[in-house]
Amino acid sequence: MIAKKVCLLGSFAVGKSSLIRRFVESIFSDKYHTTIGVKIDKKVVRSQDQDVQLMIWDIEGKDEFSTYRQSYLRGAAGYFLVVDGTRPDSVSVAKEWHDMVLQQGLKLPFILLVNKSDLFYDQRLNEDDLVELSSMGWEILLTSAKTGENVDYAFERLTTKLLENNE
Amino acid sequence: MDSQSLLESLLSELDIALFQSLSPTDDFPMFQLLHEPPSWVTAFAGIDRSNPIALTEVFSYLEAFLPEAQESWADSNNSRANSGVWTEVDRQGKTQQLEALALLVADIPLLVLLNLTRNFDERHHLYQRAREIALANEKLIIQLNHRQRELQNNLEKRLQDEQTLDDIEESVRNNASAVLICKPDGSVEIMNQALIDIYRVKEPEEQNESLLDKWLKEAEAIYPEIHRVVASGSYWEGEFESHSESGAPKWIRLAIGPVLDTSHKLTHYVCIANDISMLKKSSTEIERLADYDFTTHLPNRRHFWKQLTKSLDKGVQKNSVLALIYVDLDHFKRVNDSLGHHAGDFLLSTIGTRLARCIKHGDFIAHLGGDEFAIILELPHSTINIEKIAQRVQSAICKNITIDNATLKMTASIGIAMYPKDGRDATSLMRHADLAMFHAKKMGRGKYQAFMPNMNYEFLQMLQLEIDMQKAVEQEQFNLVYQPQVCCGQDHYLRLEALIRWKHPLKGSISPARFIPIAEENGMILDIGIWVLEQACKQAKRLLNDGFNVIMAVNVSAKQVRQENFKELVNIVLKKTGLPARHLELEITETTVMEEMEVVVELLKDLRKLGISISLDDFGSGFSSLTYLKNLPVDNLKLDRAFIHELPANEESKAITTSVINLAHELKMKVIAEGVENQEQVEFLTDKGCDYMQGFLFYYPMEAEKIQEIFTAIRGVANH
Ligand SMILES: Nc1nc2c(ncn2[C@@H]2O[C@H](COP(=O)(O)OP(=O)(O)O)[C@@H](O)[C@H]2O)c(=O)[nH]1
Ligand SMILES: [Mg+2]
Repeated sequence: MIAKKVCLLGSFAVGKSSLIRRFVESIFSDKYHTTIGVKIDKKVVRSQDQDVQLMIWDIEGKDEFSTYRQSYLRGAAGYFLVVDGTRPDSVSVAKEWHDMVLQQGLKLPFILLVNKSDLFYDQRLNEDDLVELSSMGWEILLTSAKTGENVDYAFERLTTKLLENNE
Repeated sequence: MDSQSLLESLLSELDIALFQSLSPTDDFPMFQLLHEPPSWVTAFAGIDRSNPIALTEVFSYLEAFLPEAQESWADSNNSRANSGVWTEVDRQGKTQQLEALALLVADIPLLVLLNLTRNFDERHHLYQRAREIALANEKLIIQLNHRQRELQNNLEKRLQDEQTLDDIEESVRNNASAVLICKPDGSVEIMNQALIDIYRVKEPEEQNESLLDKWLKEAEAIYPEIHRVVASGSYWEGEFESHSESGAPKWIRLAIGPVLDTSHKLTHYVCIANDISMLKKSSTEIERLADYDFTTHLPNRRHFWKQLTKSLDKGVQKNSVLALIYVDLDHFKRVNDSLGHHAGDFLLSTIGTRLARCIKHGDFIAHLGGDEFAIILELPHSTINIEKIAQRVQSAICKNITIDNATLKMTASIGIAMYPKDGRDATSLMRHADLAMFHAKKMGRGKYQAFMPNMNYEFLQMLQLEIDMQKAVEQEQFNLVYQPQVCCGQDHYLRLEALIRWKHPLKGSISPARFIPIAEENGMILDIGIWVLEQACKQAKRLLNDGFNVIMAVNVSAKQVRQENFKELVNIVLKKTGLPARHLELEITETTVMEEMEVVVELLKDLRKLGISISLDDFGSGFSSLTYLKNLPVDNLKLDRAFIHELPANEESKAITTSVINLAHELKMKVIAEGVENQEQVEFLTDKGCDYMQGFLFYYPMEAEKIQEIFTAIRGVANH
């Protein structure tokens, strides 16, 4: 069985840990428990008729407290950029992360997850930003760790992308 | 206890496990545990002292760390690598926080595994708290922003609707935001309880300095251009440290909105302030949060200042060259007013994204607030073509933007200052970029301008001129002179253009080219314009009474045309002076027409219905095509003097002049050539059938009495 490293990158509290918990353990909690450093979870997914073990790196949200390390992305096959649909600021953080990945000389498949889609009436992202990003070729998915919307699909989709990238 | 077991106890006490790397250069290195393992280590699969261990397989996190570890194992200079914290779940399902260090000791490559779990809660608690506060603040700031703008709008409307101060006061009395409404000179009209609470200010009559002035002074440290922005009647908002009456520092978020009456005169400032000290203080986390603008998601002003200071420090060290580009959108307020704040935000955000995309990696862009952006560029050398960059910025801005089915085209005025040439510290660099931008704005919209040392002086001069101009209207320092236009063929009209002059009591004559743009900018052109119209009509009527069949041409500015009641104003003047409309001609520049074609065309039609004739001034100076001409309700074209000047030497000017005259005649328009200066030109123009000529070659602009004389002389000749 092949193993692939994928990372979740984004601002703090956008729901990275929650997405992973939803995906790996099928649970969700409303309580915020901030991540420090990195936590790695594993889950096997089936894609293109083969089993793939995903090593899912939950990486601390970027802020003054956190230090970015090159090792975070080393060996990664792909990544998610996660933003919180209710927090416009999280988009620029995602862009910063993306730049950082590029700066490290990595060109990997990735998907932008606009999380917390269940908070429908609090969505505050600028449509134009998303249009712009998508016009730059970014694949965007609306997810909710709370309801599970698109969570499994997002991981499957990324797996497909990184297997395609492999060929 | 021997020293070996003492050390082992110590390691265990400190939650440390020590490994030696057996094959430091391998991709899958093996490690040997160097002491009796602490229990937390054995809680992970496969770790004991008797066998070498593949640590990177036990802890996949370490696999990614390996290259850094190998680097420090290969380096005898005491370097060490740190893996950073990660969380691992052991065989009992307990989570442990670990960290690894790689180093070379006595030429032995070591890996130190630290278990941080014991003290981790404390650290976690701290981070947790800070991030929770930051989140809450982020939400508060979004809301506050929204609330301030809404209130601002509401009050502006009330003032414009001329509600009574009592009613307005009533409406803000219990508002949680501090509200101050004052006259342009700072005298207080309304202040509410929240203002008194936040500020502990005394009643207005007990104060020696106006609160507005005080705020302006305090904000100036971070916003050097605030005086200019506020004085020019623009909306301003920002955050700064302020001192209340007792001297205690507070962070306030302040919005200053000018209120203009229908004739665009400043009547009030509406100031809304909120105490945001709590938000500022809570933690360093908020520092970062407060670093981004919520509309554009770009770094904000605070961030910008930090970055500029950093870049300058770097510039000093590396002896490099920096460019500071200050971008101010033209007429942003119009969009905001006509399409609403939502559209305004959208526009800012779109332009922010575009700007961010047209800079290189490593350059920096910030949204300073309102409609202002700034870009810091690090240049490889000082000879780089900065104009190219300015053009790129301009063209990024002026691409069409569609908002709510309306398509807009924005432009910006751009000012550029370079380090070290134009300033060595952040404040002076910023001030100079701002000043350059201001000059760009004065040159008309959509221009860029690099800073030049004399601008400082010019700016002061300009400010003084602005103050003097106020007095000039009251003290009747303006007067009109008249320049006749000569007819090339047969005409029973005597044509004149009225031109304004300003005799300054101290500085002597000041050219209209100098003060009209300023008056356009600050709105005084409206007062001046109507005065000119009235004087010119009076004079025309006088000439008419003396039996001269005159047509008086009066210049009208873009701002005047945009006044909703312009047609009525003209009508009133005609009635008041008794001048029949067919003796009045209004001159409107081509650019004014182009700017707001639809509105202007309607207005011109209406004016012509009154009997007034219309001249299209400076024709050919804009980049309009001849084809749109046929839709314009215009009687005359005034050929721009630039063409005439090049006649008849320049073939192109000749060709243009000829075709303009032909086309105009086809469209039943007459052509007036301005700035005619020599006989060759006269011959050329007459030959081509130009209808009128105006220039110093024929007549200087003259005082009214002189005109009377000349006309009398002409009549004398004609009668003989
Ligand atoms: N409503 C809603 N809340 C979410 C969602 N995902 C995460 N959260 C909440 O957002 C907060 C931060 O989530 P967390 O996963 O710790 O974010 P991380 O810092 O990116 O790992 C927690 O309070 C979560 O309960 C979601 O999809 N919908
Ligand atoms: Mg997390």
